Amino acid sequence: MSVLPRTLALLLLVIGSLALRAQKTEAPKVSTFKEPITAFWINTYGNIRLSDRFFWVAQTHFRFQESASTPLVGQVGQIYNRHAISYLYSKYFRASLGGVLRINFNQDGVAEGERRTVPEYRIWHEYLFAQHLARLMLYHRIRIEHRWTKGYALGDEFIYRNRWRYMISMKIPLNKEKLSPGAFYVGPEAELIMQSGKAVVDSPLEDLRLHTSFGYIVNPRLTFATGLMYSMGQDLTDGAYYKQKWTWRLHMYFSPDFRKVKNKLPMIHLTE
Amino acid sequence: MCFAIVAWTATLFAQGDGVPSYSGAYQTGDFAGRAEYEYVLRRRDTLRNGAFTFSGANARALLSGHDRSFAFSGQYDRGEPVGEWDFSFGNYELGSSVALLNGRYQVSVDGTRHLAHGRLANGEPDSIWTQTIYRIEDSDTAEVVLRSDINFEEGIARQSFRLESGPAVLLGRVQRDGVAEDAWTLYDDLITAQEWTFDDGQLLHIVNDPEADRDTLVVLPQLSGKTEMVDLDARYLEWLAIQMQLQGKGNALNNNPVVNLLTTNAEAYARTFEAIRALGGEAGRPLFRVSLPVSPLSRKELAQLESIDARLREVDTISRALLANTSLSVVQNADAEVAYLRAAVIGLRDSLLAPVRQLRRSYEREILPYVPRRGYLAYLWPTGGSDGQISVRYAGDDSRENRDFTGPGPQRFNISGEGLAAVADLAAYARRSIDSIRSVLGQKSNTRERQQAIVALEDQLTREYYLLDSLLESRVGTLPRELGLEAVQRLAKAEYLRYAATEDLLEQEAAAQQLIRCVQDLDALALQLIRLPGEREEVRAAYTDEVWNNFTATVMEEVVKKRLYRAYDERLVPYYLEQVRTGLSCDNAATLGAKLESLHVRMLELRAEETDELESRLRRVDAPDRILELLTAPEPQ
Repeated sequence: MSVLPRTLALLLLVIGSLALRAQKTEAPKVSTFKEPITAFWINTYGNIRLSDRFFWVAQTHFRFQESASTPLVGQVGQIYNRHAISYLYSKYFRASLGGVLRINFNQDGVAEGERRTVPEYRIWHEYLFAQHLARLMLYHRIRIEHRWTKGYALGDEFIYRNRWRYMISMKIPLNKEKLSPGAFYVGPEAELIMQSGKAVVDSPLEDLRLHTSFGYIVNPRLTFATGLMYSMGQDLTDGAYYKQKWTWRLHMYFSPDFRKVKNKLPMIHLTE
Repeated sequence: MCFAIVAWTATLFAQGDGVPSYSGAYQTGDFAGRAEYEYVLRRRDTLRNGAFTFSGANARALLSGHDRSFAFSGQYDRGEPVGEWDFSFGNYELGSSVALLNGRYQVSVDGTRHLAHGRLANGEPDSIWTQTIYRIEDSDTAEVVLRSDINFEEGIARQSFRLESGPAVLLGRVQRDGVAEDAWTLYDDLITAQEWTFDDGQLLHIVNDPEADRDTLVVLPQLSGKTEMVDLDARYLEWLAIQMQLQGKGNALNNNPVVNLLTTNAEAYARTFEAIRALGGEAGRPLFRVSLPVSPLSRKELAQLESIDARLREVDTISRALLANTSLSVVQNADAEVAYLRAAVIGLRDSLLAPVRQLRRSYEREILPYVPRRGYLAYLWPTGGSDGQISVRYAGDDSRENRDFTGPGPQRFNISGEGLAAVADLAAYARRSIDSIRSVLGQKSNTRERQQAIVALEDQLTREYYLLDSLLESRVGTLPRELGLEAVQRLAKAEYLRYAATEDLLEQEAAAQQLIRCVQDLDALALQLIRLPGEREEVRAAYTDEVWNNFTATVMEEVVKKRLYRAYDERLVPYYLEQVRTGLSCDNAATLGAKLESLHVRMLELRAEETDELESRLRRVDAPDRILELLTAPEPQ
């Protein structure tokens, strides 16, 4: 089956299902917020220094979510691997390009004719702007992801979507003048994730994430943080319905530098 | 060029067999000269391995007095001296004959030549060792001063030994652990001359001519109570001399051939062992061991002896100043009172305090714990004490006159009754006496020249003092109190005021000179303290790396060699500053400044050095003096 007929078939399937739904019930007149669910994420973020300006970004996230009987960690949600090569243009700007392999786990048991897990692939690129504001740091992050996903049903095919993400965040040192070893900080973040693609009909707002973390900088190569995130977004299949989630997140940031000492010195200050 | 490379390679590699070797200047312990040796490299260490020769002689030293030459040769096994070794020590001065041959001077030498030969195992003597000392005259052997054969096993003297000098031969035996045992017999021209009898290290008696007359020289008391094994060395022989004196046989051991042989032999071994240790060996265990009664000094006795020592030192300092004073030497010709007082100083120093000095010597030589104190004091003061009176004979106005001197304060010292306490009182009395003499003599020496000299010194002192004071005045308020500049200012002021209150002209001159030195030291220290915040910042900057943090997108400062930097910043600098603030004196000002400066230099050096080992040692160390030892110790080779 070539790509075009497959895409057409998918489209028909989606429209068909929407038509089916429309036949069954009236379209809701107001949007509806579903009951929030709870989740727990353990995220590791690696930034492995390759040269003065290049880093290898290596992130692995373990995401759990509630089950019928257990809040937060009742079942595995996703295991998520994100890699990229990041180019440090200056202290104030860097760009990254790479891929994601994510394993999605079927929730609440595996129904007949469904898979336990499905892979999800992405190509992503990111543009990060950093700004000094007195003692705190302000960041703007634009991340664009090209995403292939599929449902758990055995016959499901991959669908392609784009994600458009913008995040504004801060890191505010609490016990020190600057972000430095030994500093505790607070990091508020707000991220808006929009989506587009053939499958996206009335649900462009995929996610709005509001997250505040509390972190400790052990040294320039190691930081720990934890935070609470509230998120909400439209159901792909019916934009009138909004999912909600409370997520407790743990983060470890590590940044090893295996270059020889003589290559590290003197420290590049990059372009001011 | 090619030749130079070949020659260089030849010095590095012996005959192409790939064994690296060294030939050149070499120093170890107190020995410096030229060495040739082979070595192996293990990790970063150079381990001597194979043949080794090392010798040194200094012609310049010989020409300007005397020279101590040496030559050592033997074998190493991975850094450890093993196998047969030969040692030669020369102690020479210029002899009488000189010849000029082919443009070279040839001079003969007089002195001694000491040869030692034996085997080493695990760095310790382990065979029969032979020591031979020759007296050298005009570069020829004139006499064998000592020939000694001692059998060693694992560094310990075993079985029998033989010491020989001229016609005198001493044969003796030791137990397995080097403890003296049985009869040690001295033969003179093959005739038995003297016998020392030991039982398990305890000397029982010394008998002259044991075969015929059995003239008992001394019988030592049977040991009872606590005993201790000590080395048979100069200290033991001194103890023995005191024992003889206590038995009323004061000079019986003078020129005793056994004592002479044992002393010369001990010196020869001390020299050899020092060389073995310098070469990396372990030698250092005592030769022969003997047993002595011991009754350790009590805390009270120690305090009394320390006080006696302090008083003697004070008396010596003051008497030296009084006797060296040239203007007093002039005045005494015209003033009989001055002549009398100076003679009294000599009397105090030499006769009144003579037994006190003997006591102190026994204390310093660590003999006192092995000597019955009461008996020893009774020997030193046969009359049971002293009345503090000295009979002084001096050049009077017309002829030599006699007069008794007594000092101020109590003058009865019941030493047989009160023991060391009375001796301490006697020493204090001597100190009071010499003080009183000084103040009288001070009045007598107020000459015009002296006053002029003092005025000049005071001018210099005032200049230096105000320089320091204005330096401190401008900084005390602005720099952190922690630096202790106030303590420097306080000490300078106190010393200056103390000087101003000195009225005795004799004292004034010395005091002014001392105070000028002190003010100069304090000035150097103050400058060092003023520099310290800058130096600390320099060290901080040197030990801080700037590291890019890609998560925060900021450059972060990170302290490197953290343990080392903290030891400096949190332990050592505060330790020195604490000393400045609470323990500053004229005596330690210069040292404190120099130590702070050298610490700064050392820290900057260590930044560039490999310090992993040092840092891991610092983990176990907290006391500042221990940290300092680690920091200043050279890295293990």
